[in-house]
Amino acid sequence: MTATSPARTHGGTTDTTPHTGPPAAPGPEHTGSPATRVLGLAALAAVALLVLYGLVVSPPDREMADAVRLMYVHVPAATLLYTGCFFTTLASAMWLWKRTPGWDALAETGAEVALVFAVVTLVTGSLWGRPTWGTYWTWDARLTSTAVLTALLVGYLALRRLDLDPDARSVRAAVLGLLLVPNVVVVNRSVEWWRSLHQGSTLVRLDPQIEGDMLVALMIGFLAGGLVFAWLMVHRFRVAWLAQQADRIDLDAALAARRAEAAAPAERPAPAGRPAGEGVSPA
Amino acid sequence: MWRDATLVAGRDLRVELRSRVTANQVAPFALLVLVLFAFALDPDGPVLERATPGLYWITVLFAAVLAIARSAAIDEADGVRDALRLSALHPSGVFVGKALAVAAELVALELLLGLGVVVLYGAEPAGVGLLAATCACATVAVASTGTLYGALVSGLRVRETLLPLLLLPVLAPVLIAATRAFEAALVGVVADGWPWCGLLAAFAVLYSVAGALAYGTLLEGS
Amino acid sequence: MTAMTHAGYIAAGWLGTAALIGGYALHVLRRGRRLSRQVPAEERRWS
Repeated sequence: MTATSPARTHGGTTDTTPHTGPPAAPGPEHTGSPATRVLGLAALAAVALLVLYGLVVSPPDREMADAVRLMYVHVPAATLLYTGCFFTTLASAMWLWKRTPGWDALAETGAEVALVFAVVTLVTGSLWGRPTWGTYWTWDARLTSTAVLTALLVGYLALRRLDLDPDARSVRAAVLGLLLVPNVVVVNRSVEWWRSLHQGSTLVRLDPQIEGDMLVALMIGFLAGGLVFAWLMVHRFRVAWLAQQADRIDLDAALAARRAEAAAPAERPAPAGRPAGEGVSPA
Repeated sequence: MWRDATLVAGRDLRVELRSRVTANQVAPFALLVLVLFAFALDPDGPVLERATPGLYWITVLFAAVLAIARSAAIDEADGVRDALRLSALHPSGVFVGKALAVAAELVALELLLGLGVVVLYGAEPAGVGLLAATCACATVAVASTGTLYGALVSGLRVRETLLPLLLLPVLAPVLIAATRAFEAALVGVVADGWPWCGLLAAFAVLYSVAGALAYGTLLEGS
Repeated sequence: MTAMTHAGYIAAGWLGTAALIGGYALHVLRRGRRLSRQVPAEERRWS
């Protein structure tokens, strides 16, 4: 389910370009590393195990029959969604404190990965709801909170994509990210309270009698989900890191070009608006 | 800090008084939304009446987004932001001042809309104490949250579209709580509404503090 | 394995999840490769 880079045969030499021979080459042209390969393989293995346990070994539930199999994906996805948000808020706080770019990259990573799991949560929750409750959307507390949380994440990522001076963007994103977890907590509490007035009984909770193979399947779901989450976080973090470096390189190149222009005005037409004051030919 | 806040609030309100945007555009828009709801829902049946608390607060929120965008726009004019940074004004004071100005405008809007639902939807005021307390807490909540988020999007070309996207999900709990409180006051048991009012108060405190703390960072960094 | 009830929903859920996560993983990897070409090796702190 998750794709890892084509297998390389060996680890690296001591310099930073282990996968291509001569040190002068640009180096590995991907975000992989021995660690992520191991992680990726472990994730794939766990997912395979989940498929086995979730779809085959574990029994159908007494009340919801086979729809419970969606819970093995839905519940871990919801948990990982919150985990991603936690990373974003924590990284935002750390960035505001330390101002190092790694924290900024982590904040962005957490939010984007969280969004993926949010969509998974909504889709699986809704598909679970259909056979169980009769409708695709039930306005129960968890689904509703997740929907609001998805909106929060979309907003955060929209802010991050703005074409702004990177420092200004990071400050705004950090303040917004810092508020993410508090917002989630407030929203969850309010929605739960609200829905509890209408649905005296269950919210989307697990059958409390979950046990035996069903419990095992759920645990494997958490394990597989967690490994996939970790793999995605590492790769996405590296992408964010590379993007920062690429921006910096572009900026340096643009500055260098400006300086070159300023240093050799005789070769070029005068800058816009300036009459021939430096011995250049009239524009 | 309070002196700074009063200064800034005074400035913002004076700008509003001179330009009259809230009075001439936001208020009519809010009333228009009430009318539109009547078009959309059947005004003869019970739907409009039952939905009054929710429709009221949704309208308030939409109008608030406009008011907050205006408030943020005041500081986007050339050089104002730098002037704020260079002035000796305490950032928290600036935040509180702006939030107070927005709150004042919101109170006016809420009163107007209250009149609107009484006239247009036939609502019967009851539990006025709870209604007033709810409005007070919700106003502070919306004003402080909005001022903070207004600063987050200030100066951006996409401000008009980004502000609602960021602000409205955050204010969902305010909508939920204010509507429940109003329902309790108008049609239900008043005592049921006070806990929701408490939630609004807590929300208001949370965002007032958060805004006061974060405003300085935003002013500096953006 | 006896016939699964609600098989359609379960299939949709599991396959949809696989598509979402797999698709996102590919997106990240592709973006990683594209950016890696632009950035010299010294900037990287992995592998």
